[in-house]
Amino acid sequence: MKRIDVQRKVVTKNDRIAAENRKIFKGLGAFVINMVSSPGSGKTSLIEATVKALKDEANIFVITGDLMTDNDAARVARHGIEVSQVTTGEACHLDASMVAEKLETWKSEKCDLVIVENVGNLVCPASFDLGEDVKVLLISVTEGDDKPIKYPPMVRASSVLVISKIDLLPYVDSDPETIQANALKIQPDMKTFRISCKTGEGIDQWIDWLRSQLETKRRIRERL
Amino acid sequence: MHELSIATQIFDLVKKVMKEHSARRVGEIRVEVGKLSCIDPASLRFCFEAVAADSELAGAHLAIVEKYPRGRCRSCGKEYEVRIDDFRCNHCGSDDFEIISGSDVLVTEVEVE
Repeated sequence: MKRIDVQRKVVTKNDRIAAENRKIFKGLGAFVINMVSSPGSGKTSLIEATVKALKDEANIFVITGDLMTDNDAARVARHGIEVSQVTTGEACHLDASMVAEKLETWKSEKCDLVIVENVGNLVCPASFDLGEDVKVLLISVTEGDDKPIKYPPMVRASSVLVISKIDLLPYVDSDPETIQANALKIQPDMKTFRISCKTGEGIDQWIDWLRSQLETKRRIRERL
Repeated sequence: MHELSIATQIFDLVKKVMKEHSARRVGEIRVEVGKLSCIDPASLRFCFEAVAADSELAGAHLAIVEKYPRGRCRSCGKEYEVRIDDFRCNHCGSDDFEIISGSDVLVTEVEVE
C-alpha cells in the first residue's frame, strides 16, 4: 500500500448551494441576514419591528423557518411584506437548498433586504451557510450571561449580537455588559445592540445600522 | 452536525483519488476534523461506514485526528492553541487575532493499492 498526500478540504453540497445563493443575492442587490438564536429569544419580534420601520423604504423578503406551523410567517405577513415559511418537519436548522427553493418564489429583479429567520437552535445552524452577508445572533437577558461561551462556534460565525428583552432587566440577574464581554472573547469583531421589542428601546440604533448596510449595497449596485 | 454530508463528500473525494492513481483498494483514510466544525468523529465514522458499505471503498477505514483551533495573534505575532471559551491570544491577551486552523474537515492522506 502506498500513502497519497491529499490535503483537501471537504466542501459539502450545502457549501456549493450557499455559494449559488450568494450569487443570486448579489444579482438582486440584497443585504442578507441569517438570524439565529435559541428558541424564544425574540427573532420574530425583531423582524416585525424591522419590517415595520423599513417597509416603506425598502423591498423586503422574509424567509422564516420552523419545524411546524406558519405562525411566524403570519405574524410578519400582517405588516404587508412578502414572507415565505419553511416548515422543516424535523430538520433542526435551515440549509442552503431550503433558502434556494424559496428564492425561486421571489419574482422581482431587485430586493433590498432578505431576512432569514433560522430555526431556534444555537448549535446546528452554525454549520450551514445559507449564502448570507451576516449572521445576527440574538441572546435575551433571560438566558444566562455566559451563554456566548457555551456556544463558541455560533458566536464565532456571527458578526452581530443583539441582546434582547432588556425591558426584563429589573427582574433577572443579567448584566448585558457581561454577555457582550463573553461574546467578544470569541468574536472580537462583533457589533452589539441592546434592544427591547416591547418598549422599542434600542430599535432605532438597529434600524440605523441596517439602513447603512442597505445604503452600501445600493451604492455597489449603482456602480455596477 | 452534518456528518452524513461530510461522509459522502469524503467518499467522493477518495474515489477521485483512487481514479487518479489507478488504485483498486483503499486502506486508511486520514481525516482531520477541526473542533470548530461541529462534526462528531464517532458519528462521522458511522456515517462513512454506511456510505462506503457495498462499494469499492468497503473496508476502508477513517483515521480521525481532532484538531483544536489554532490562532495567530496580530499583536505579538505568536501562534497558540485556542481555549474553547476564550479565543483571545494566550500569550498577550490581545483580541486582534485570526483563527488559522480548526474550522474545517480535511482529508490529509489516503492509503491505496
